[in-house]
Amino acid sequence: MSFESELQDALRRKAAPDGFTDKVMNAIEGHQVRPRRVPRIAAAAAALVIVLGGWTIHRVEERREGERAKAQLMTALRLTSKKLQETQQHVQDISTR
Amino acid sequence: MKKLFVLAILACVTAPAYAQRLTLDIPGLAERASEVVDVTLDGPLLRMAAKFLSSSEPDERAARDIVQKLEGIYVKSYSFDKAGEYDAAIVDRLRAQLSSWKKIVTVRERMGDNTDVYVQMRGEEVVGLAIINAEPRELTVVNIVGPIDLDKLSRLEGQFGIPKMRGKHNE
Amino acid sequence: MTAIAAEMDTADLTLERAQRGDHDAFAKLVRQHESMVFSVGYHFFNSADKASEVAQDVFLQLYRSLQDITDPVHLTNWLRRVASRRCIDALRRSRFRMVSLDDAGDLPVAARTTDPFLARRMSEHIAALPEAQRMLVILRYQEELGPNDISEIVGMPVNTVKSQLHRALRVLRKKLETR
Repeated sequence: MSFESELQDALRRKAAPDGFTDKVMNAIEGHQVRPRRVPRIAAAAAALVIVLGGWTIHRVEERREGERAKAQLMTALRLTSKKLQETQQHVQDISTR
Repeated sequence: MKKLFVLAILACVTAPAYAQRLTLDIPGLAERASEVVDVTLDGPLLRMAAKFLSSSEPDERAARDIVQKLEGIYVKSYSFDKAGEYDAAIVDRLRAQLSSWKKIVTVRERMGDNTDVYVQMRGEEVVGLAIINAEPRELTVVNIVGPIDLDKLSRLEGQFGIPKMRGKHNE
Repeated sequence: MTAIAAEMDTADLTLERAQRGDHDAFAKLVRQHESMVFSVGYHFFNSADKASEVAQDVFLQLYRSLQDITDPVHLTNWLRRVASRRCIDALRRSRFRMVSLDDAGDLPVAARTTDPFLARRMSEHIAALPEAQRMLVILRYQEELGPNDISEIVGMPVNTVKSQLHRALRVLRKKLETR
């Protein structure tokens, strides 16, 4: 087998885990069981669920983004503080020689 | 008199309220690095991050105190498997951006660790911080824009659970 | 109507229905593309759990951004772009937490190929590439994209894509030879 064929073989697409689509739809709809059909008379209620579901997802995503940004912030501050401390220590070492 | 007045107005209009943001992008370096820390936080994203800092955690409380007036925090740190993976000219170009800043510390070590700390002042207030730390296997650049308390910032290290420096720290 | 035209027609209709709020249609879109999105993550992280997590995020983002999608081809490229970026972001975030990779806990799933040991070694070597090169290799050999398409997806100049791919392949060849 040529090198490129080996690469293609190793990188062949894999099936997503069983139930993956259901998990995604559950996250979107916020229901345990996804209804197959939406009766016409419930269309307005369904629309409301979609809107609220979208809002919920938005809040979940906002929380995730906020936590990510916070983690980045703490990393940046840690690194900056560490570099300042190291520099301060170098200066102290030199002045005590 | 009118000319002076106009010039004064122009100076107020054109002088930045805070320090400028540096250009920290170094094309191609990330691909050569074994580890990269890349943080760009400003505007709404920085405010969002600050909003999520907890007031019940001491380190996050201290962080909140520091960042509340900041405009931006930019950090790039590259670690390499071996020495000599980045060009010294990169460091020179970074320093060149800071020619109008005030250099407050320079450390040059025989082992090749070099650190420069710059600040930009507005009156008595520090409104910008830049750190360039160039080690044989690591290059770190920090740029903070906005009013900073350097004392509080350097004291943070102890609060993060990292022991304060005692002796020389070899990695 | 030819088979391809019929297929595209159906794909267009499914997308339109999903954009009008039809959840069945959206679920169909997810099923159509889940393998591609999951595989990008799986080959990037060498972990099914991590890949599943990122893939779910990608489809949630798609749900919110459906109105921006113009046609099925755009949808595929959108998914590739978002999947690539989310994988790289997720990796950087996990480094930010300064957790040792030894603590990550995910066991890679062995690939089913004619030579499972070779494929597994190859997967490990790919997973050890720097993140940008890793993604380029995945887009090139999993998705069979050319440098121009890859360049648009990852937002990197075409020549950089070519040189980084070339470098990545050189590293992979060398690693396979030395074991």
